[in-house]
Amino acid sequence: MKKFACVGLIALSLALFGCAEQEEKVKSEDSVEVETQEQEADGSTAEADVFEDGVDEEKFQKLLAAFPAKVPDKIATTSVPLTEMLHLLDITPIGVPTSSNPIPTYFDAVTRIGSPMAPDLEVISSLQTELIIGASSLQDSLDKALNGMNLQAAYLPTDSFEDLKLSFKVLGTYFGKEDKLNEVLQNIVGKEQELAKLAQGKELPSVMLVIGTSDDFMVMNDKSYLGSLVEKLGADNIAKSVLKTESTYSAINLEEIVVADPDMIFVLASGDHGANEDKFKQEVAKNSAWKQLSAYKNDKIHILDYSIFGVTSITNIDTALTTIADYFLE
Amino acid sequence: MIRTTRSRTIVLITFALTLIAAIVAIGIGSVHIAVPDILKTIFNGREEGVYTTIIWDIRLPRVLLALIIGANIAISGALLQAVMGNPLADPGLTGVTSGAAAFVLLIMLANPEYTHLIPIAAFVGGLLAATIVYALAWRRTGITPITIILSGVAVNALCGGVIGFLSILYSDRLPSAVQWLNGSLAAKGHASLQMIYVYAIIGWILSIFAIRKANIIRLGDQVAVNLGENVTRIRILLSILAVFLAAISVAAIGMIGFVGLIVPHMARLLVGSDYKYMLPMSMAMGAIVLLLADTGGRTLFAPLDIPAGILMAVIGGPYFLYLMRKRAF
Repeated sequence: MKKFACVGLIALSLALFGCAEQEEKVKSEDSVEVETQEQEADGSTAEADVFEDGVDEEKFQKLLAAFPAKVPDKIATTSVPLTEMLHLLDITPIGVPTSSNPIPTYFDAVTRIGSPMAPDLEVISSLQTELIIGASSLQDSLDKALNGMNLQAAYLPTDSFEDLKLSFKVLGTYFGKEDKLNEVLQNIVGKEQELAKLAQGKELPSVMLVIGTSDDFMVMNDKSYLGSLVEKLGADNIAKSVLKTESTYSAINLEEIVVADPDMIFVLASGDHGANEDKFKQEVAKNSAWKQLSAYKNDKIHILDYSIFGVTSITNIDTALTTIADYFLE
Repeated sequence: MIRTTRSRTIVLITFALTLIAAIVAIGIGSVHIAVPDILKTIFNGREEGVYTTIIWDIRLPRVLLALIIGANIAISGALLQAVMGNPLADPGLTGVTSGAAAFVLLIMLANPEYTHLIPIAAFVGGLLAATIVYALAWRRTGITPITIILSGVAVNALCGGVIGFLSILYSDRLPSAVQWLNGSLAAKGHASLQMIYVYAIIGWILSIFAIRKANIIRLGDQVAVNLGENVTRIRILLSILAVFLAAISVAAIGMIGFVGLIVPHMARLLVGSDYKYMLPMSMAMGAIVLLLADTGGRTLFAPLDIPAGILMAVIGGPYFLYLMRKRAF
């Protein structure tokens, strides 16, 4: 009996050792494969971590903790960028905002619950909403609007490039959609790395970001969506470096702009979404101060597509980054 | 005779002060430029360089615009006060400004492809608002301060509602009208100056012809009728002129409050009620007041550019209350 037990123990030990060795071997093969893939993607032997999403872990945990412990079935959102994220994660809310900005057509049949700032409380109640998700920038007004209602609310930032990644990660994790989440984030991170590599060793221009028209405009700093894209690509935004503006949008004296003399100007022609470069340049040509700017002389005033840059959008991040990078590296 | 000579001297001194204020305003700004450099830039003419751009293309047109528009609004206020026989009548309180603004905003936000029609829209909007105020405020005994205030409040509320509605409906396009909504001369260059100066000169010339008529209706309807004047026709023509001057100003830089109210009042205190002196005095003082507001706006919080309309509201509001307290109306 003892003999059988000894043989069994030895056999079991051998079997376990064999499995462990096999597992280690498999792991080792896996990591080699990942490393190989990384090297292929990078085209270099540098140990770049393509899966590092760059999202601030502390902020992520804090935002995630603000959501209810039990994932509700009936959720509504008051934010267009967050609606788009839910669509990417294959989550169908029961209510989406009423907005002139595009809502995914897949949600055409979903109830509109009113403006992002002041949603229709009657509609929200009638839908028996369990959780409402809004943009952090509108938290104060939304909290006031929802005061007295037995409704849970969670807020996510949507103002900048990093905000979009952070909020998307929170939503993906909370709703257990890690596969979709990783797929989208990996694409974004991949694009970031690709463009960073292209910009390596190149001198990027100083940039001014303008919203409005040539005679009624405001300058945007790095807190704006467009500003965050420019910062991500590593260019110098004069609103931050020279003009030292603290607000996202600032009415800046034209004299200061002439002195700062940015190499490149990006314009969000908000007054007329259909405005094209020619039209804007005709306006600028009437103003002799604008004509003295290097960006005008060197034909470096670019009108950006409002549908891509006017509204923060995780779907458009790839196009937005590529467009800006193309201008920088042309 | 002594009063006349005194009034003439005060008017001339004020015009001289306007000139000095303009020169000083060209010298100061968001970017510091030393006096020798300013003089060199001015006397060397248009040489390439940052200082040339700042002084010739930014400050000079802006200072001239402030002078012209300040003068326009003050004349408009003075004429409306004569027409309505009421010291509270100004383009702001009578709804002319907000009427013009509502129509301009309708183009700026809803139909930006028609921006070339903004001056006409401003004129039509201002005229419509003024007509409504007249219709509401008119009583058999004339227009009393209380009726003008109440009808002005009603029309301003209506136009404010339209402006608010448009702002919400086209909130994504609002950044292109933020400065304008607050009455700003920021980034206004030679093009704006060229747009307005022809209209302004026409308005000023017509104002010279309006002096005698304004003096006649100031004496009261009965006296005017006895002098063989058609009072209604005078009122309509002077009102159209006042609306025209205010509307082209709104079209150029947006809503500027209080200039049309407090400036004619100050002018009246200094040179009396004779429009021969009061009107040019209002013109010069309006120019100085708006120039001061704009220069303050572009220098006090540099590099931020605070719209002149905001500064005028901050200064004009308390002054208006002071006048009310002094029972000046």
